[in-house]
Amino acid sequence: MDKRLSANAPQPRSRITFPGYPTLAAAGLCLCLSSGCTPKEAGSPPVPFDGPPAFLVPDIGVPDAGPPPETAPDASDADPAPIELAPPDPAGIP
Amino acid sequence: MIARRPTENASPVELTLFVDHDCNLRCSYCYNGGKFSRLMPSEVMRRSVDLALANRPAQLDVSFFGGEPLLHPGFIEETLAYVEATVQTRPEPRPRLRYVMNTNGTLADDRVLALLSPPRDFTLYVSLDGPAAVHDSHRVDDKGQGSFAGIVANLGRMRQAGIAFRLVAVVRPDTAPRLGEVVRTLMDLQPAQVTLGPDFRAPWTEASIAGLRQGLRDAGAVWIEAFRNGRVLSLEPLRGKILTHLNEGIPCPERCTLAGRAFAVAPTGRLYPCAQMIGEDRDDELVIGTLDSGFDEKRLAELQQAKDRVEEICAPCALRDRCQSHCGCRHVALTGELGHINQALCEIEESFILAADEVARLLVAESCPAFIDTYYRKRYRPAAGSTLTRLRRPGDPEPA
Repeated sequence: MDKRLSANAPQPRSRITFPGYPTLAAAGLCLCLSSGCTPKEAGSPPVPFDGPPAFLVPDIGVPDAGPPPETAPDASDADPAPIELAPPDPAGIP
Repeated sequence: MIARRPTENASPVELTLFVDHDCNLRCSYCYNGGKFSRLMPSEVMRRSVDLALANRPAQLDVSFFGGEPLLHPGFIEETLAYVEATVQTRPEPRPRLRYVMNTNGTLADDRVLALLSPPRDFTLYVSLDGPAAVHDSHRVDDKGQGSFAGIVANLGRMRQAGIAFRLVAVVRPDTAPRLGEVVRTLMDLQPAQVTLGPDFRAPWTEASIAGLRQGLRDAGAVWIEAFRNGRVLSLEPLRGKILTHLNEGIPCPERCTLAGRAFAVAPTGRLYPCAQMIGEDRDDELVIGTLDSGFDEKRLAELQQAKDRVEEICAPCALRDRCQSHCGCRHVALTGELGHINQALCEIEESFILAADEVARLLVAESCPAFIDTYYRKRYRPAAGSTLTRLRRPGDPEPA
């Protein structure tokens, strides 16, 4: 019988798998500008990517040359729209 | 004295007005209970807006919910006029105004189109479950007739009027295996966004989760095809799941805090943390106050404490920071109680995460320009002559 999962307790996952693509921080592009967070890397320049994405290799450092003026974020970059992570639960509405 | 929630005045405040319990559709999975006419009185609307503005938010989002809000275009007109006039009386800096509406998309005459048209900042969510055979299996009128054809015609009128819309497809065990064709159908209608919203109340089983995973693989393939063709579409919640990895978790402001920055008002004037908790507005369990008495801080604290039980349950989970288990309305949908979840949520959330990661992994591995630009670069101004703004495609010439 295929039992309803709603009858079962939640099952926290213990395995951790690498999703196979880099985080922004790992790619040198940490852009966490959410209110209350410190934009530590907001001024970092784009990281040069040529050929296969080197950032997929673990423990590779990223260039830290500081942002040349022409690559600094513009005003709209400095205050991006909030990331919408929780779209409305739409089941049944309206 | 009205207690002053939400308290974070620097943050946007979202006020949801539950316009009416009535609806012209009878969707099989609707969680809002019986359909009956109880239109929100004007006074309730005005006092709700005043309450939302009480703490001088930097931004006010007014959301219309129901029931079907477009049964009452006059109410919508009156609300827009009141909100805009009231904000004009406020000292600078005045809050930015945004509007949100969840509608079934069956009612879009010229009067409605005029309401929703630019320059008003309206985010319009239209429910459409997929192709006619999928959609009409659940979303029917009171005579059992499907609503697909009428909605698609109205979406065409909206496009002509310059009204952007987002499409929301409810995903159930019987429709989950067809998500590939669902996403393809919805994308063809040129929405600003597609959201796949699982029905957490549905009888999910291991077999139906397997169907969901297959359906999400098919949907992911459609999304990948779009990226490869240079078309960037926001497909939620896959997009959101990718962002949770890119950002190493869900940003604090995005986590559900139960009325921390949002609240919903029923036509009776009773206050709820979320519009999805109102239902028929007969149960006191999730009520956090009234317009007459203000927010009940003690009750709100109790509900918050109840909701936070899930944080302990989920603490050991490797996917905790990518999951919506913090969301109170999901608790209620899954189990009827805040702070209680079940395995269905774990399986559904993991299914979305795996599908999202598969899309991102493939597109990063092949250096898909549209994907890389969207998720890694879009906040950067390209330097003049720079070759750094995108990954090179295989076969591209060597940079100078």
